[in-house]
Amino acid sequence: MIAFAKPFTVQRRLPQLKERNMGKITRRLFIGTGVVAATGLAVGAGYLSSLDLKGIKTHGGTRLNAWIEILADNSVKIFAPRAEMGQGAHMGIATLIAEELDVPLSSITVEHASELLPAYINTMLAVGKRPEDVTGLVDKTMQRAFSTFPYIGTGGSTTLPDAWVPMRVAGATAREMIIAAAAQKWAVANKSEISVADGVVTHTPSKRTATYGELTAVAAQLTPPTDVNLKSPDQFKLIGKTNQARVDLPAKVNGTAIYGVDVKAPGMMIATLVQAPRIGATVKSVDDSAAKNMPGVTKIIKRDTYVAVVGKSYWFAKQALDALKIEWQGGEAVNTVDLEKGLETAFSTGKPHEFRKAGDSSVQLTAAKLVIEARYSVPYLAHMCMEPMNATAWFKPDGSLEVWAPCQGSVIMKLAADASLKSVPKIAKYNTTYLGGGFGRRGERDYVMQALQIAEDMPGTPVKLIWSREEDMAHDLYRPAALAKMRGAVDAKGKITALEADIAVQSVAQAFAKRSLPYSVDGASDKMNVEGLDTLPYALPNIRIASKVTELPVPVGNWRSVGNSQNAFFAESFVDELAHAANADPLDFRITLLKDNPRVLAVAQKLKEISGWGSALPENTARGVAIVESFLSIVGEVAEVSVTKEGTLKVHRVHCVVDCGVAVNPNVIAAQIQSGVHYGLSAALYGKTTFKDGMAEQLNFDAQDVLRLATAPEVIVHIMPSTAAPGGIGEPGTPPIAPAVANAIFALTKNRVRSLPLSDAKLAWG
Amino acid sequence: MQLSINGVTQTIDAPPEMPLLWALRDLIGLTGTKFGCGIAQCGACTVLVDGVAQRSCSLNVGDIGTAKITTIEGVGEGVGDGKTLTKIQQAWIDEQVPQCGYCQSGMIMAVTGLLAQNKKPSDAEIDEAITNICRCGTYDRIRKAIHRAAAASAVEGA
Repeated sequence: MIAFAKPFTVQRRLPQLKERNMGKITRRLFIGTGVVAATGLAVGAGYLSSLDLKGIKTHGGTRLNAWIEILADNSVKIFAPRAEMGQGAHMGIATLIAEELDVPLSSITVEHASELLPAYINTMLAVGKRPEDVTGLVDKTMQRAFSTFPYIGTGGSTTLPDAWVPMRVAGATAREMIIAAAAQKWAVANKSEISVADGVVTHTPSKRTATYGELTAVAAQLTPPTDVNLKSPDQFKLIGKTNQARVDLPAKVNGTAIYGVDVKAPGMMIATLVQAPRIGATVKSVDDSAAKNMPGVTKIIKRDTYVAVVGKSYWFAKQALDALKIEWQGGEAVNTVDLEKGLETAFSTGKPHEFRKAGDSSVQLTAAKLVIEARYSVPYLAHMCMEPMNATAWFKPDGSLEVWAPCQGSVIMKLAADASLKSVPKIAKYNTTYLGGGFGRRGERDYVMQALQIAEDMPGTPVKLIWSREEDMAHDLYRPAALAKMRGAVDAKGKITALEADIAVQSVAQAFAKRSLPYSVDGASDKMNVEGLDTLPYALPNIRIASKVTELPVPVGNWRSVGNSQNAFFAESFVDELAHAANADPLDFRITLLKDNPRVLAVAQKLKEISGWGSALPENTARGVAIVESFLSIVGEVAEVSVTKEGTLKVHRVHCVVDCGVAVNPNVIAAQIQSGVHYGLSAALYGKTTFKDGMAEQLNFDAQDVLRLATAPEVIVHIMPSTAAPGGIGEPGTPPIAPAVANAIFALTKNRVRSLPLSDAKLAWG
Repeated sequence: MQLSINGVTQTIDAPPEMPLLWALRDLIGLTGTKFGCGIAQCGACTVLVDGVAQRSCSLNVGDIGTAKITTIEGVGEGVGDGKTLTKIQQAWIDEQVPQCGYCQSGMIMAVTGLLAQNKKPSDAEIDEAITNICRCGTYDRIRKAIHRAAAASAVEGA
């Protein structure tokens, strides 16, 4: 085990619930606890029970527990309660289960579980701790409360940290039940004579064999053991192996993978909509005289904040939508300059909330010979998932409801139904399709609520709502804009003697809870305001990190890596400024400050080695470095960047070193780091949403460019060997890239870019 | 109106200005071709028209005439689960390219069009020809997979 020099900050989507909110939560969420206990599906050993799964979905085989079904042909179905949005969640869960169940990955297919079982909650996301670390009354009480919710969500890079122990236990428990079934069938007294491999059970003394498929029906009748052993790392056949093929890829190369937009149901109609273009505006009047008789149009639906057209095709509906004459009223006619003033006002009048304070930075800054002060800013950012927002709902003739959505959590569909319907049917099924990108956007429920409302107006008819790209970008829940004021000092030995950061920002957790959760969150103490800054890994004896939150009209939400996406830019750019102030090499400067933090130090040293740090580069090219801890993982990146004298920027190559604990799926980890770099770099280079008269100005890819093959850098990933429990991997690749590129620009041109996107910066030099 | 799609003649009831994308998805039920932007920017809707890659969101069905349309469902030999993968699809598996996968139908069709015209494209030629957007950032692996598919086809052709 590699020990951490300091406690690792648990970062997650939802901050710890405030004490004062707990009473409300426990009262509200504990309703039904008795039911949970009675079904045996409460969190704990009961979630592995096969005895209480009557009525649960099968494919004609036998469910051994909430995650595993084995069919007669020895194939295995895994019901994963986490959304597959590209990050490899289904592969990760399949790998952990298959490792202990001892079946080949090729025998497995994975689908998203549709039942809202308490056992499926994401403890890491809800409670902020790994399930195996949930001890003590407070944590257990919170876990039980969220089980009743049930908090089934995908986000915060939590899938693997959450699944690491329980999914292996689920696989091992099923395996032991199959062994016990074999022992019973063959009348073998000593179960240790029975071994398993690749889905086949063998009794060596009698040379008898049976497949799992032959034994699973008997196994399901047995009481699950509660004391299973897990493999030691030297016994792993799948975990950590580089030759694994992702279970979801065959369907993704031949067009058969079903995303939300691909859902089909008998007699289905397709809807599209226009929402009030100005933030907070409502519909005043609709003239549908031209639209209602257009071909293929079934119905026009007017609501307070949007107008939808339902038709035989998205295109028919869209043509009619464009023919509507809609008058809007009210709303917040803000411009980007007003929003920037709002952040400035937060600086001058807001109340600071300190998240990290040690030593006395103000005394040190007063005493310092040279104080470095800098002011940084970032804009609002849209998510731009490849698949525009969509959802399908069907109020069936039998009175039940079925919903399909590409959602980061099946409970989101239930919450959407609770919040938007006149009457929620007693029987409801919530299907999670593949997601064409998520990035935090699909943890929201707005598009599901709309699909439900439209379908409720058309009982008996399945309705698929698809947003246009323009609606997707005009009605995002944006990464907040933020301002940072940084102050710091270094001594002659290259030590940082003081570091202060004040951030003005909107609280994402507060905004998200207000929209989507049955409890409130305090914005001032939202850790996401400062994550990426308060997590700086260096020796910082005198440090003060604070935020001043403000409420502005633009709706904000979780954007891949959340607060880290802006704060790491502020933090790692400013550390670079301090390195140059100390006349130190920026990477050596960091290494010196990491000597008490061995895990991050090892990443920094490996990065220096593999990136060729200090070696010659082509003309007008330089390197920049950034290292960020986020989501229980550490990622260091060195960007090789050229800037022509005329100011044309190109990022050629990015070397990455990642320590994410045990590398369960190395191929997925490398892909996610490449992905995180590209996502973060698209934003750093081009990303911004500006507002004019309360309306977003960038509405499609022609107005908001992103990386393409010609502009995407080569991304080389090195994974540190580790036996520590897995960290997250979907997000940690994103935060370091913006500062790494900005630091490279400075190294080459001596121009310190403190505001994003880089495409707005004047980079001509020399 | 009749269209030749994946070797099958399809009769659709659509006005001539309807984009091929929506005829494929909503009228014919071939959902492998994806909607991303509607303005020929992202390439998620790429199909082959007489072997040439085109963005189907901006191609009206009335302008297609007798041209042969190939979608992601139409590549490879055979039918259903037994369908073989093309060299390009196999390269996509071998390089473990897709993440969310939403753009990959369009990517594979764009690359199918490219390799039909240029059996061994250089990196610069790939950059110029394949302008499709992938928000997951699978570009490194796409480039490797294109070269792998080109090499595999060259071996077979030799």
